[in-house]
Amino acid sequence: MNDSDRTGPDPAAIVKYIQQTFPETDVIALDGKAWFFSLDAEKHWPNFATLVTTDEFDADAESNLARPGVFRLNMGVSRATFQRLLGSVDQPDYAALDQVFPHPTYAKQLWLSILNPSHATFAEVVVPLLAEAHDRLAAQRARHAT
Amino acid sequence: MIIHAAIPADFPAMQAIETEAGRLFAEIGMDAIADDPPFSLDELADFTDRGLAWVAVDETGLVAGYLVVLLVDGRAHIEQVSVRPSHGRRGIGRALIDHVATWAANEGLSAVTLTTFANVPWNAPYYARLGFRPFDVDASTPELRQIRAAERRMAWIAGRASR
Repeated sequence: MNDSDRTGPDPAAIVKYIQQTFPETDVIALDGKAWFFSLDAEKHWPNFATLVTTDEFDADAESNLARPGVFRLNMGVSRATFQRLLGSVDQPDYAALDQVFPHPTYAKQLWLSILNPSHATFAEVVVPLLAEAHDRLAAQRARHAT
Repeated sequence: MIIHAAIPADFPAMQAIETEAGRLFAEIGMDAIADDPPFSLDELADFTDRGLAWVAVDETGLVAGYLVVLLVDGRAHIEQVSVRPSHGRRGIGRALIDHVATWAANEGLSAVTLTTFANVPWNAPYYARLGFRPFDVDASTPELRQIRAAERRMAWIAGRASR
């Protein structure tokens, strides 16, 4: 694997991708520490994805986000997807780059996470997960609206 | 959970928290407080414009609690601290208060004060555990005296000048 295979989109590129792909997305940015992606422009909640660059959300800095340039992208998915991707993982490495793992705190709520996806992983794994996370929330909102 | 200065995007959650937390007072028969409307968007903007409001938010973007202060008699007076009942007993209120105590010290404010309803059973032990002690509101604290009298509350203080 050469170096270009290991590089991936940075937070700004991912935020831009989400905004362009799902134009109705409401994005709240917190001082470069966190971005929250919802479909509710008034309540800004719930979120289908979040991106954080700080360990402050975690009890034990499990992902070691203090490493320069390291960030965590989190997505809420279906139970089936969560099981398919992570059902067999019992001791996740929360600090591994470019690898999907259960969110250290919100796995029970079916949130999964990845640190710094490579371009290839972003295209093959993250793009479909983002779409699922978005579509699930959109469907939930449509049900509640009727 | 992180604590950050509140922004307008947090206002709907702050109002919802106040409404939810108010229900706890209804459970002990204090309906007047339970029915007290939450801060309006304008009132919340007054706090955030002056940098006097903070929220605790988790990684899913949920705002779990908030705190607003007023500058009263040269001290940081906690006007309101509220946590979603669903997120109670996890130290979020304490984290908010600790955050503001550090902020107040950095701002050169001598102490943090608050008032509570003396007859709400969970209040006194809670604030005592957080380092507050009952406080004689005297002539040196005219504004706080006014607040306490208007609300028939008990005053508490923590900080350098309180020792």
